[in-house]
Amino acid sequence: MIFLVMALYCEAEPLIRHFDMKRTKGKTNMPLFSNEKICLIISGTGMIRSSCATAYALSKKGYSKNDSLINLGICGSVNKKSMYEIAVCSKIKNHDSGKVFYPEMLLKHDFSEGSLESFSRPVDNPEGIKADFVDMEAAGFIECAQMFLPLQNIHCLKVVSDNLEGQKLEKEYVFSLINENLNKICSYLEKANMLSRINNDVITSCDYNLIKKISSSNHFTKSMYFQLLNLARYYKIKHNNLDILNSVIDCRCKNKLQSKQLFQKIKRLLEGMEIGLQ
Amino acid sequence: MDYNRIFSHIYCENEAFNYTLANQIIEKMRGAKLIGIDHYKDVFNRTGQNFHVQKNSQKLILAVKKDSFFYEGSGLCHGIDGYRPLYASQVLNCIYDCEYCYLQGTYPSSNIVIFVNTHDFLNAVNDELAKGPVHLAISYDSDLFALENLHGLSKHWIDFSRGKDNLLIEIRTKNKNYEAISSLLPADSFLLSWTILPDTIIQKYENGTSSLEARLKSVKMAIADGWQVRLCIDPVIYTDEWKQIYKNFLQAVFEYIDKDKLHDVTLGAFRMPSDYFKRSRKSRLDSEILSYPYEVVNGICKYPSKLEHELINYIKDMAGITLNTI
Repeated sequence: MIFLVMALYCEAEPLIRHFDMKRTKGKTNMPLFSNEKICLIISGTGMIRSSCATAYALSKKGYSKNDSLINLGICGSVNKKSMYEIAVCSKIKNHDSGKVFYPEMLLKHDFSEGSLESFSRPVDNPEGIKADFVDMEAAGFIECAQMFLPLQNIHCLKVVSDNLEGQKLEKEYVFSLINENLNKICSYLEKANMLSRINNDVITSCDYNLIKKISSSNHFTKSMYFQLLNLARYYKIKHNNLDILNSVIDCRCKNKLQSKQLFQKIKRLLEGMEIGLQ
Repeated sequence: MDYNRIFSHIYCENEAFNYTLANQIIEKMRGAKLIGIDHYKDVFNRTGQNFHVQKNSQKLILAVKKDSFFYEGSGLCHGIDGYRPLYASQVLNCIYDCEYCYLQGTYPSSNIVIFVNTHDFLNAVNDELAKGPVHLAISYDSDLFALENLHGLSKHWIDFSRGKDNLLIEIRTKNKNYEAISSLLPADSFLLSWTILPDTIIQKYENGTSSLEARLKSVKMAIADGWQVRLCIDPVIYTDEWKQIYKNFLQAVFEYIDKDKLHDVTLGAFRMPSDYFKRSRKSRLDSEILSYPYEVVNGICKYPSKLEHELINYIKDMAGITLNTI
């Protein structure tokens, strides 16, 4: 699942339409939209709101360590970058607390890159700001996001909307900033999603279920379960399957002694001739 | 997956900008994006990093080391009689991705840290020499040679070692880059060590390292130039057909290299402190080496004693020379 945290409805609307997301009923004033693959929450402006929305979306929909979490929205450019330019944030500072966050920069992309400072109030003067971009959410988002997911699953993507000249931004303009960049944004989301889904575990969820079933049906201790899991991993790397466990899948031990004997039997099966001790 | 290239980003401590080495490295990596940081741990020690995924696009961190310029040597490493074993980690992490490497259980990140205040390291070692002879390993937590063209640190350490009778510096590598230092005069207090394993093991488990043949060519050149060279058959990895594999390997090595011209040859089977091992195993759930059912003895993960003895004794017998074992 891709989780998107966005501040305003007019920013989110192009994505809601594009992915045909439906609104989920909820008790908060942070609208949540989703389909099978994407969940988008509208946080409202500000770091605390962004933080709360991130935590709420993750807990409401449920998440796994293979999900990606992306803060997407508009930002002001300190160095007079062109409007509509997309930027990936490589350093995010909370102006109020001084805390600095460093997102992983693993993905190749064609966008700008730079540092971003999050403020609690709108900024209308670039003087004294050391960052390349400013916004009002990213630092709150990332501080929360890092508590839930691995770093490589967390991204902060901004579209330049102004050069901090204090002008009021119309909804239609904000909509167009995202809408005009929709294809590029979607392609980044896809890459981010692929990165989050990297999983080097050779044990599949079916294998886990099989090992759990054998363990629980035969009253194996936690330690026995983990030993079994590791031996199964070693066996699977060597043989590319766990068919050998089919012979014990229906075993039902009735006492401790039987459990221990079965465990030893499975151990011998999985170790076979492989570990160099026979 | 479309990853950024290695060292696409350089994180540099604000203080490190004052050091020549940092600026030289930044100059060499001109295409990299430069990000200023307060302290290297702000990036290196972030929670939630994935050591293994980061290996696809390692970043460079330039920092200034403030204290602990060296540490007491580990009992799991080969020492030199009469010398106090110490190691200095001026570079943390390695560009290679060896499946059995303990670094994946040591550090939270696989990004590479280079401490740019070389003179502080040298001064600290100088102070230590007053207490007695020192065997200083300078590349246990990295492969200095592999990045020599970027930082040139080996040259500094070689020059530092000259004329110091009570110091023996050891640099260990899996790289063929002897040429990076071949123009220097050999130093008596400097030991060049090459880790060697059979090519089938190298290809299967040592991602990115030089081939056995390339390493041995470097060994031969270094010996011919008059350097003291150590070969490290370490860690011996158990694998299918291991007897034939190691037999062929030893034959090939000692046909090509004159054993009498070596400083020594060390031998050790795979072993790792169990806390490092647990973290390594967790980060690499597709590893044959790390999923093997090892024994834990006194906090060290190792092959079952019977197998370990068989591996070591077989290689000792086949090598036909005295091997320095742990």
